[in-house]
Amino acid sequence: MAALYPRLWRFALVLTRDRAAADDLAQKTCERALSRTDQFAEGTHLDRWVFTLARRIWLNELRAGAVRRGAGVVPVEEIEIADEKPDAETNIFASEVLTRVQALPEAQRMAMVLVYVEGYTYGEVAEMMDVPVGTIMSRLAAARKRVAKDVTHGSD
Amino acid sequence: MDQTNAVTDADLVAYLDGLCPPEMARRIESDPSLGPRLQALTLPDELQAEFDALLAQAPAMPSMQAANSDTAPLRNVAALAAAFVVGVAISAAIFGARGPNWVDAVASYQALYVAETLAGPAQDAGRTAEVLAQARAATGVDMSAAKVIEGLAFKRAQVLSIDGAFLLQLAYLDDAGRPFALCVTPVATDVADLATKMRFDLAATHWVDGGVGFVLIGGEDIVRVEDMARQVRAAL
Repeated sequence: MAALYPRLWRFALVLTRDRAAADDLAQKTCERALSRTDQFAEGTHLDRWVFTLARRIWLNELRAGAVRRGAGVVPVEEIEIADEKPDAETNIFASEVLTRVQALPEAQRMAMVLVYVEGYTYGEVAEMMDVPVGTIMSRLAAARKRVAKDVTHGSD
Repeated sequence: MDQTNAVTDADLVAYLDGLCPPEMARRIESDPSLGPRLQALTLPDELQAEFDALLAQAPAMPSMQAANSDTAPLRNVAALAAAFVVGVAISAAIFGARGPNWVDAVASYQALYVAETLAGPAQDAGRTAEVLAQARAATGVDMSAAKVIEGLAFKRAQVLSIDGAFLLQLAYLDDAGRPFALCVTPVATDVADLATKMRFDLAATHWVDGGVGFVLIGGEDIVRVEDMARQVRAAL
């Protein structure tokens, strides 16, 4: 299994969709993890804990940004800032597959990457994202449709 | 067709993931009208490969300040540091730290230290005395004499914990700014003579007296560390 830091960085890249922000988030997550080892219970999975921590840090930053922009306090799950399709200049991936994944709304993007890239089970991802398994399944279905082989532009 | 029994997208996803019950799988496979829906849900083959290629682009892990909490469970910090570098599997060698492997746990934690970790004036003397009193209560050993080690400047005493047991860490800097540590914890063995080797690229000498384990670690000079350890052992 790959070392954890590159996986954490890759996860941060999927979350933030910006390389500088990914570097920053990965470092912040490490520092937070190292200062909170008391929250890491022996026998639980370090990697899942670290990914969950990274996501929480990022969502808090997005929420703080939304509040500053006058959007008020919204439930974290409803932050759809990630829904805005990145324009061509900000596309950081050369490959079409990566670009399509990047364009997914945050919750679908997370579910997709955690299940199909990091290899966690539906149940594990449900726990990490703190939602029922059924919600993970619908997010996976929605994500699959957008990333699927013969998706055409302008659909959905 | 009974509406409540219609095949859902979630069923199809589970099927594509090889996770749906056999009866549902048979149902899906025997229904050609589901073909277009399955197609629409099928991921590109290159998805995993594309994402794995990203791993090679990850920057090196930046150096971290060691956790500064007075009660940080040492094995967790050591385990985290090791896991970030070498992979997710947290080795039994670190978690099973009540045996001889506690020395490696200490060493991997010490490997996080740089001169800056101990920069600034030495710890307040009152606080040092408090920590040493705790150590004496937990191990029976008065460590005050160990504040003075030739060639090292004492910086601070910290209470840590390993596998639920008390661990004292005395931290020092040498003249060249290299961090050193002397760690003390109750162990299962009764006595063990000085043993020196490189661990995590640091010179480390450990020994046991009266059921208490000691390790002196720092720098890369094993002769020097063993000499210092001999001095400390004699002084206690």
